Amino acid sequence: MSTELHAALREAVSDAPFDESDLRTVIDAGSRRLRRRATVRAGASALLVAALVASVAVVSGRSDTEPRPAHVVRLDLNRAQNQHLDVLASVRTTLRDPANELDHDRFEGLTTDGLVLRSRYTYHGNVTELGLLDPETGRTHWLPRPPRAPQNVVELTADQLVLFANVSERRSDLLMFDRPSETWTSIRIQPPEGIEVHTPPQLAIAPDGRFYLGHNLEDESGPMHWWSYALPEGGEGRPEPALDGESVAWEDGLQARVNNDGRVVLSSSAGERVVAEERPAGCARPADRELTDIPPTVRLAGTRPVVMYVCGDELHVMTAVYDVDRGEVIQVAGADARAADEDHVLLGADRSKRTGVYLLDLDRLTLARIGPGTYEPQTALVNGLVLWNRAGPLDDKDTYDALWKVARLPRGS
Amino acid sequence: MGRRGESEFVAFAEACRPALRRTAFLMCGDWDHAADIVQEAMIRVYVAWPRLEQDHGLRAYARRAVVSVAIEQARKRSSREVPTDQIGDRRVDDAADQLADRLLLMSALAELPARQRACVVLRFYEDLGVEAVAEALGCRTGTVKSQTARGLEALRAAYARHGGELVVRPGVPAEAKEVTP
Repeated sequence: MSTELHAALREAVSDAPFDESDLRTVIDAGSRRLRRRATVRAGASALLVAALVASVAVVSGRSDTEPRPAHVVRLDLNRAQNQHLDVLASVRTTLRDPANELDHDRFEGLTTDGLVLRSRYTYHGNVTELGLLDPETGRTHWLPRPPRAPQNVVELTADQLVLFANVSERRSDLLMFDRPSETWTSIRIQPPEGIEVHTPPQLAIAPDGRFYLGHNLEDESGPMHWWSYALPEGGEGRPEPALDGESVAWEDGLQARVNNDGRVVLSSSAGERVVAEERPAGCARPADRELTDIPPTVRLAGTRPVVMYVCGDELHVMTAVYDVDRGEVIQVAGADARAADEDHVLLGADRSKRTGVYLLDLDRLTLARIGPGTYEPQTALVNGLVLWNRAGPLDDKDTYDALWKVARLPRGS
Repeated sequence: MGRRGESEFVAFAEACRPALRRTAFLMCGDWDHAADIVQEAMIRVYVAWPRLEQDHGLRAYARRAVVSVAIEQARKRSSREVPTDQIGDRRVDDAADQLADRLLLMSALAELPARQRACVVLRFYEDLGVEAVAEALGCRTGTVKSQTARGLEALRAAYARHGGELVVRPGVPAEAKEVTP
């Protein structure tokens, strides 16, 4: 028996029963929802009057309690110059029949000692291989076979590679590869119940040595919830309610947090600084929060929190870099932060008129376009190297074609 | 919403609701549940109505709302749905074969995770291009391709388990095309 999918789908709906639902019900329910929102907004406006006293502020200098207005520097994608980077290494995956092929060869990330984590998957045989490619020589050192196929990079250092394998909704594994001894350790992680498995997790090993997992819950649209796990024990997660509702990043003893309202906090062992009290001007949360409210995400460029906001009902994106020492907020509308190092942020613009991958130099406050828009999530900026990707020339509705590239940042950039 | 806006909304909803309900049915496998999905989606469209662009933007938003509601509700359901047995009036001589075909299709669709199912339905029922599906699901085109591929693989495996074969006609239109009521 042979069945053609298009025809079968159409046949399945060819005799829909009579629809007895009433549009009046829709209009009544919609009107009630609008009235409820208007009431909530009226209450929120009263609170906003008080909040405006603080305005967008940067806490800087000697006192952590005396905010001063931040100087906003807006950089325009349209004014960015094209910059050619000499590509050290590249890899390409082309699938002419993506419905029947899933093989890939791609770059996953960069190690702190300047190597490229490469993954290769062969669908027939279900084989995943991982290797470390030296971009200077082009040679790949293939590692012993990992215990499972990882989906996420957590940390890539000169000592170890930490990867995350989401095996099922009831089980995940943290895969740790010890580079000197070339051995894999698999740590079983019990995922919390009720997590939204279709949205990407936030993963990090914090300075306290614990593995942190941030996830949305199924019944909630926006706020992130956090759990931490002892290493190397793994097992059940410990809820971290102090971080709930926030995107969090850790780096070199610093912690940056941002919540849905745009409150950005930078913490270290020396104390806590409120870097911003609210979202940037022109970047309100969408009115239709059930459908389109997407929480901001944070990463660190050295000591600078880099926050990506999704703004308004049009869902345009904005990246804001909070330079506490200079008392500046650097804003780039239409681009979202994909990676950052001490002095740079890698930005992607997918929806603006100038789609592309952009390099923001935080010292010179310049923006350069280094290529067309990114295609897959793998991007990195580490130790003077940049990893990005783009659609290949053959990519179309029937063919998957993607290229991953690694280049060295120009000296002085 | 003023009277004019409301009358325009009613006209829009009346025109596109049957097609949205068919898409929702393929997403959930139950006509009553599909009507509930479309109702919730249309409430969201009503709330957003004054802000929406006319023409293409309206249908795209409504489709996105249906897919979002269907995926949300699929995640909340503790067990997979049972394929519908509502096949309507048919001639006796072809009813048995068609019922078997339909049950197999709906069973196979029910085994797919919600996003894979959405990709298959939007690509092969609504005939949407990869970009339009990515817009409806709020994800990247690469994700649509991989989710669609995995969905098709799972469907083929389900058909093979029952001694059948699923084939896909080549040449899915690249441009977004509405399925008219």
